[in-house]
Amino acid sequence: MKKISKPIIFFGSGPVAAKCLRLLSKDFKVEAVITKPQPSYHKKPYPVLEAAEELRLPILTARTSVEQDKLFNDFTPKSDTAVVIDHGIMISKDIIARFPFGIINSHFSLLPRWRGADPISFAILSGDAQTGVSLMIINDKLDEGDLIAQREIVLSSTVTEPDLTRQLITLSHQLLAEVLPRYWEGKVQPFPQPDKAPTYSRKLKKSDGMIDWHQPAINIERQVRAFLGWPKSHTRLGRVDLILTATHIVAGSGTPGEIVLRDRSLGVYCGQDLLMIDRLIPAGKKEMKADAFLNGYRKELA
Amino acid sequence: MTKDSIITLPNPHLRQKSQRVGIITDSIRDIIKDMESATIDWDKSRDHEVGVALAAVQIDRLYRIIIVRKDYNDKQNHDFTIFINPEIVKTDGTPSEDFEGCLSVPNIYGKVARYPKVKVKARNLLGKEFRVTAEGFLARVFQHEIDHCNGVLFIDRIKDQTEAFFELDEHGKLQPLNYEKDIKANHILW
Repeated sequence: MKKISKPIIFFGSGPVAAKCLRLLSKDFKVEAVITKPQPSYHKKPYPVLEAAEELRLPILTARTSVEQDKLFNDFTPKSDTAVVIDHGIMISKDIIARFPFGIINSHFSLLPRWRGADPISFAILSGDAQTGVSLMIINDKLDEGDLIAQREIVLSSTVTEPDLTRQLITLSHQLLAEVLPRYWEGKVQPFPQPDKAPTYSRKLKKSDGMIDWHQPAINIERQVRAFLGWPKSHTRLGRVDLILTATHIVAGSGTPGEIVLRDRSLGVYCGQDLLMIDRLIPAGKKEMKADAFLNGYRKELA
Repeated sequence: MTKDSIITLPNPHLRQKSQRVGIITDSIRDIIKDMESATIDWDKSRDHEVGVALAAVQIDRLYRIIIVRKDYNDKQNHDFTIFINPEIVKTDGTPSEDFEGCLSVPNIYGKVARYPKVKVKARNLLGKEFRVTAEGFLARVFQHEIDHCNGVLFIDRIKDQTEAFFELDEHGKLQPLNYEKDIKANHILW
């Protein structure tokens, strides 16, 4: 007995792409990996390059969309399907047209919610009750293609971006392993994205990581979880620069930015309510609990 | 052994019953090695398919032996499980249709109804009897391969079903076949 088993081309460049590639290569034959080249200033090996080398997969690199198009001038893939995850380079119409089954993007949100980059952080930032993974056949517009699958997970009110990313990588892989073979056999038909108003996420900037204490505490608490991987949540209290890593909200009102110092706890008034700091990283130190921090830094806060 | 040793329709041996294996001799072990290498060699020639299992009759050795790929999602994995004198001792559930293809039936895929769960009794290479319970796709694989031992092909199970036949086109897509022209009147198949 035989069964349909297709090779795929993998497009991906970021750390999430590397983890997905490792999982994907267990269930599918990856004909080639298309990724960004290692920049000379980057000392550590790029995660996708590292993964592809370990898995002994052929690698093709392109810096830009133009270079990527050129790659395909002298490369005719045997694969009739491609998968793109966390790639960072737009894929042109011409390349899309090379794949009869299309290029499938595993997008980490419930499209049409959070089209664009960084859907994971934005789902946490806006306090969404659920998020998930959408498998989309890309077209030449930004995240507007038809879907072949969508699956949701519940977003807990304490989940952080690194945790959620891990959960979504696992879900994404389950979905691809389960749905791609069914799609190849014609048992799954592409369907349009649900008819809901789209929302858009964007690439985060370093400056997003500066806490604005005029924001309500509920926003800052979400921000601490959403930005925990990068750009993190930076602030200066008294004479100490620090990064907040875990906080919770308490009712209260006071001048935004005003420090509330108790015996063993530390809080800051926000635009609304009071944000209690549970864990933090003082500049140049390791992560610690608030009470440990107060033992050493109480004077600096005054 | 290469993929060329795999027999295909219209070879009439595919419609013959295979004989039970008595003592597991070196020649039986050689047949099994040949089955494995033929499957792997066939596999290498296919970009869009994987060889999941094979019955001895498919290399023209009419013994009741089947081999099943240990991980058919991974073409790099060349390990097989061997079942000598396999028998289905129990079936469970209502048969349901899914795609099936055969190394001995070129180009055609068919939608065949199979039980979702089967219990198989067989002997291993040491002659020791063992039983396995298979579900889903693997249950389908056992029903397909044990049919081979009895001279039955998957197309025989669906021969009157006008909408059950498909082929893989040049883009790797399954396309429905014209029953009257491509199937019923195709003398290679019957």
